[in-house]
Amino acid sequence: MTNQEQQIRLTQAGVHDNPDFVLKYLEEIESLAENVLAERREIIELNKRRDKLREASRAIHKQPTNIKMTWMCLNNNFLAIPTKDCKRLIDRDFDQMNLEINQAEKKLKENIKILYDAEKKPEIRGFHLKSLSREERQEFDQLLEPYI
Amino acid sequence: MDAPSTTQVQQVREITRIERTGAHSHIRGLGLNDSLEARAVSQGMVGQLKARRAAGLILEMIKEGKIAGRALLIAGQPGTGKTAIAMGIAQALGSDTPFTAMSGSEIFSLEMSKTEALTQAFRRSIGVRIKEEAEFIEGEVVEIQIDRPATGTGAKIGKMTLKTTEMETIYDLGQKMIEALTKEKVQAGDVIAIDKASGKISRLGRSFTRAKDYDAMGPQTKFVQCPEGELQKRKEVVHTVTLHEIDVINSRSQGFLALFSGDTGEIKSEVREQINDKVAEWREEGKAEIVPGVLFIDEVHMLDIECFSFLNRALESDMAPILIVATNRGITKIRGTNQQSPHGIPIDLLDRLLIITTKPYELDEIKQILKIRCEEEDVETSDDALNVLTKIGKETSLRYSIQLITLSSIISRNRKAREVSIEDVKRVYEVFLDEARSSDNLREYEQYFMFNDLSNTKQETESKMET
Repeated sequence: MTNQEQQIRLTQAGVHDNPDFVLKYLEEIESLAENVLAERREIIELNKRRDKLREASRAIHKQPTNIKMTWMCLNNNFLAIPTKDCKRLIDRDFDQMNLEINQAEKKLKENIKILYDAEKKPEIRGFHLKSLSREERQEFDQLLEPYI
Repeated sequence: MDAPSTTQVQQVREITRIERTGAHSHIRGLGLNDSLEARAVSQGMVGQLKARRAAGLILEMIKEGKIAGRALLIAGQPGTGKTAIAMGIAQALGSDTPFTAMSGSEIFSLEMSKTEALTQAFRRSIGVRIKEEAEFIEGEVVEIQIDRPATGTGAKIGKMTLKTTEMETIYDLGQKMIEALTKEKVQAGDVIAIDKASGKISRLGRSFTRAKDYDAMGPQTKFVQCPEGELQKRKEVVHTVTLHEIDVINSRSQGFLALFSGDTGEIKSEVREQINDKVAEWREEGKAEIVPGVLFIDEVHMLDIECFSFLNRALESDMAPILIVATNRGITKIRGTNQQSPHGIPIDLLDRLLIITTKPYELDEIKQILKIRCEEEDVETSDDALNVLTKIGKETSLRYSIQLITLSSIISRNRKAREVSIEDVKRVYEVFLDEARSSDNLREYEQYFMFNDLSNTKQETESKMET
């Protein structure tokens, strides 16, 4: 069949016969997906660090209270720091970690949205809503009990 | 590969549909391409390019949420694909958007008034979406260590090591948590989830890696994979329900009984007001979203003037769904009045409607549709039989020739043939009459049918004279 007929057939079927375009499209999708996966891995790393900080904080709390100087290990260096300062540093870092993890999760949601858009998948609806509190949720639960 | 998302999409309401081949079951969507141009044959739809393109634009409007007060009228001769386009829109919207399909005469019921039936239909087409989130710790227990104080009184102290495939950490346990763990009989090797907000512990099962620990296990041991990713996860769940469901449950103390028994009867307007206020309040705070759906009323000429006036008003509300109506009437009387009007719809409502017309199909379009129906009904036809069916479809009506498909397949099966041939089609054509031949037949033999107006008395006198 003629080239023109072929083109008409292909556009009707919704298929792209231009390999360069397809290649570029796939590259784009792969890089967006890589962003999402990298964000995921980063969140896991941040979680590990936060947990380590938490364990350190617990360990300091469990010490007898008369110890004035605590040994802290930072990057293969042992430092003797007053216990009060130790606690302060660790708690500050812990809060910082929490913020960073929240930010990373927000970024992850955005990246996923971009990836879904690029893949022409239907958008997952409703995630921009504010969450209901527990009381409100219970109200709604009572309304919906027979369905859940 | 693990889905790259910390969120999960879950559907609260499961709709079970019994699959059967109905008249429009071959339609999977509107068959449009990215620029909303209709493809000639796609997703079960054939032809009607203009009407499908218009429907596609309406679909975009629905998806973007630009609704409230929009209404669409699909008008056309019988058998031109009006209901098919509505089905196409329903399929294209997906399960996310509420779609209620009804016929005009369903409004009339002994149990509730017309306005109540319409209000319920409207509210079935509007959904409310809410989201809730929970933070929880999910992992496999590596070990639990609980120390009881030597003196016998005093708090127990404990440590629990939890791990996932990617990380592992130690948690210090407080008194209450130790009690909860002991009550749940959590052991090393169990996979548990702890809700951070409530402190509730749920056992998800036992890890696969510990399956060989014991030779004999209790009857309810479930084995699950070790959880992946981070220990402390945030889960967000989105629920979509229709306003009608909330109404019904709220207005009856035995709400679930009402829903299973079918018709719910009248719902007090105070109850509705309450729901509207609550939903509006949440909407203001950004906690809920109104999901406008589609209400499709077929045979809309069956509604009467009171219903039409109600529709006028209902479309003004800011929570109104998109209304799609279809009719095949020309200029007829509006029910409930003596006035004539196009499509049997009053002019003030017609003014609010966007109108799409459907045209009768061409020969090749009819052939395509018949091919699709043959596939859908699992019938093999020869090319000659298909051409004959197409001719029949063009001369008589599309529906008639679609019905001949299954009938001729039964005859061909009796013949033990693999595909339908012209003889099968001819046989069925002779046995089952279409509308035109039936009317001809009637006109010819009218006098022999019961209760016809002419010559009932003539017959009586004739028989008397014979004897």
